[in-house]
Amino acid sequence: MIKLALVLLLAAPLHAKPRAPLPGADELILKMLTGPETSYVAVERVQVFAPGKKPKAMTVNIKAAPGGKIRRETAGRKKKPGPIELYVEDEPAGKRLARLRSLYELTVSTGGVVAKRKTWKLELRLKTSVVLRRALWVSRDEGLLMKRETYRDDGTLARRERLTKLELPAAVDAALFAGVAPKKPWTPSGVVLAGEKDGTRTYTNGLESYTVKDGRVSGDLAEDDAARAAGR
Amino acid sequence: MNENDERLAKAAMKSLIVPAPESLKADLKRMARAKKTEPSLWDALREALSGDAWAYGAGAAFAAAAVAVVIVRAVPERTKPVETVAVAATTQAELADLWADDDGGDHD
Repeated sequence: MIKLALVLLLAAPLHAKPRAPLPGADELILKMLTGPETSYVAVERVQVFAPGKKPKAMTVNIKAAPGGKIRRETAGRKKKPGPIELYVEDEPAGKRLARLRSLYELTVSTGGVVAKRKTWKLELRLKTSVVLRRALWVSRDEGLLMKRETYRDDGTLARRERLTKLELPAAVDAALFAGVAPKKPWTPSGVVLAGEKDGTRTYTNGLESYTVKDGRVSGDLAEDDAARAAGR
Repeated sequence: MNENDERLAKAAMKSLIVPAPESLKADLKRMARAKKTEPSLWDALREALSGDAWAYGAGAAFAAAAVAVVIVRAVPERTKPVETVAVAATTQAELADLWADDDGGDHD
């Protein structure tokens, strides 16, 4: 009887569904930075968590085409249309990976389900202090960035961007990308130049801001975004 | 010449003399006053240059104003930051309006 129970216990894992092997961090990031091979339409929710204040959020409708073409339409409020960002990601994926590698230690684990897609979770910890700075959830099949969280030095959540709806593949009118060009200078999504004074340029999204002067960046930016904003 | 002839000659001489007008003194005073109220150009210039304390004060104020105008016009970029700050404030306010209060939840 005992022998039979042992046989059943040992045999059970053999019938279980095998777990997908974890991909390498570099492989996963390169797939994410290259982007899907088809057009897609998504709705993104961006949340900002300022210390001691109520969380704020906005909704962005995204349309994307192969080749890094992206159109982000921010949902307006008070019957006003929101701003539209139209740009193409022109920086080679290898360069972006090298920037992340120079700043962070990267680890991969299984992520949850985001917008009905299974994900891998990428954790980016600062090499200098082992602080968790970013966490990325990447869809397993398409390599699309589904969710991103950015943390402060004390570990508190500063920002979350999450796709809440995703249609992939989707038919997207090519005319929506007429005149698309890279961002010069580069800024994170939703951030615009607010003004320049005494050689200091100020960029803002209405809640967060950063400044650039003589290639030095200071403000509400994670290290990899700061390096990119500075042109490195 | 007898005594009568001499008297006649004196009477003739008196009749030849034109009598002076009665208001001659007043006329002379009026003419002198009129001449005095029309100073020459030179006198006017000299008087302007040798002004009193009021004139010096007004002159100094005018000079200071002129120097201030010259300095402001010579530094036109001083007005630029004011304009930039105004634009920045507008952008900040418009972008801030796009954000709404949120429950902070992590869900689709």
